Amino acid sequence: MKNFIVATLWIIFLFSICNTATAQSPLVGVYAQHYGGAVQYHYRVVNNGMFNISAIWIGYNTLNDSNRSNDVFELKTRPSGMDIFDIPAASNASPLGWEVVYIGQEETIAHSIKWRIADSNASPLLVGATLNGMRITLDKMDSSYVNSHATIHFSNHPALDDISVPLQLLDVTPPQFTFSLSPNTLQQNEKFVPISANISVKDDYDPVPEIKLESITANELLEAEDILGARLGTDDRQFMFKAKSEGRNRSGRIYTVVYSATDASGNRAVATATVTVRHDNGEQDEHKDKSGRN
Amino acid sequence: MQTSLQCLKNAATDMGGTPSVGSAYRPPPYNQHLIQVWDKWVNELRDDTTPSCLDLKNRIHQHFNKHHLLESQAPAPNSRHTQGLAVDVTINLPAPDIDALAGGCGLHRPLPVTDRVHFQFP
Repeated sequence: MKNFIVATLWIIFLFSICNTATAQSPLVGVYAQHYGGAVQYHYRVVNNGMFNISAIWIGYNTLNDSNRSNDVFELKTRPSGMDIFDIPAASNASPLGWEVVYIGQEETIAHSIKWRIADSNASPLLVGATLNGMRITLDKMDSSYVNSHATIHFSNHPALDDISVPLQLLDVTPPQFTFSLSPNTLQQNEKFVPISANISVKDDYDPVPEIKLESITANELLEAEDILGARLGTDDRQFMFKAKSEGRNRSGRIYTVVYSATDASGNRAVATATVTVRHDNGEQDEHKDKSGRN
Repeated sequence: MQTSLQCLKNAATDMGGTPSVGSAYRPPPYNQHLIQVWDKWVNELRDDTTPSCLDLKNRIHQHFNKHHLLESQAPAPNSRHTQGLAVDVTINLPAPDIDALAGGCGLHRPLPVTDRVHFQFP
């Protein structure tokens, strides 16, 4: 009985701690999308705290102490099209009544992006409410936009009450990714054959995950000219293989092609397909005749 | 630094520019003061709507402007200015010319876009 009471009290204690932490810390979620050759980062704030929020500062970490001299600016890549300090309208979006500003630190490229209520008449983010519609566009992916912190400023509270929280990545699932190669069987004739990759990819947040041809290998030693036109590290879906096989493998030469699909939040899926070069039957028979074995 | 700065000012003037020196050496306590003023305004009072804070808000804003601080650029805690290794100079010449002149005086601009007035020893 005593053990049961102790265990019950312990569970209640743990629950109260967790519940308090959840209730007092606003959540700042982020997901990213490829869009028109650029990458867009979308932020969402859920005010689980006890006070209204008047500013959300992405890529700024106060370390939750009172010393402002050790605060960290965490973002690395500047928004698309920036000149000095102004984020172009095409590279950002803000909720109604809010505005976005770029805040850098002198002598470094590190910076942060801050959304704040545009004027004193605008409504802060009320307790229990969710704020969507914050977006920044970059020319390229930058993991600091999803792996850094957000600092929350509460309406009419001193900066000492600010809270820095880790960004919560909303997209944690790799793309669903498959592909096939066409043709996937070649007859050995020493000629080059065009190969096409037919790719199917789908992601829960990113409409256009990044496709990369990662590698092409074979079960035989390849000569440099056995593969033509393949640009590794790019979205290359057309190349040529030489329909050649050394004849040592009963299965023939097998080219193995690897592609990756990476969503803008950094989740990566890898898929593999093969192209087989079959031995010429007549040649195999000839070998058999000469050696007396298969 | 004084020799290099004078060299840069002379070279810019010779090319038809009008260099204007802003921040040079900053004693660490002064740099700390800049950080505090910047933080007080940008993080705390700028968006404060409490009526009783209005007077303080106005005074801090005036102080912020007096130091020529920018909301978009926070003072750095470990600034090279505090070590006497950097100087801020506004020069109205084309960027390539400025960088060439600075190089000739033993200085360079590490961030010609985001901190275009900042020159330091390589």
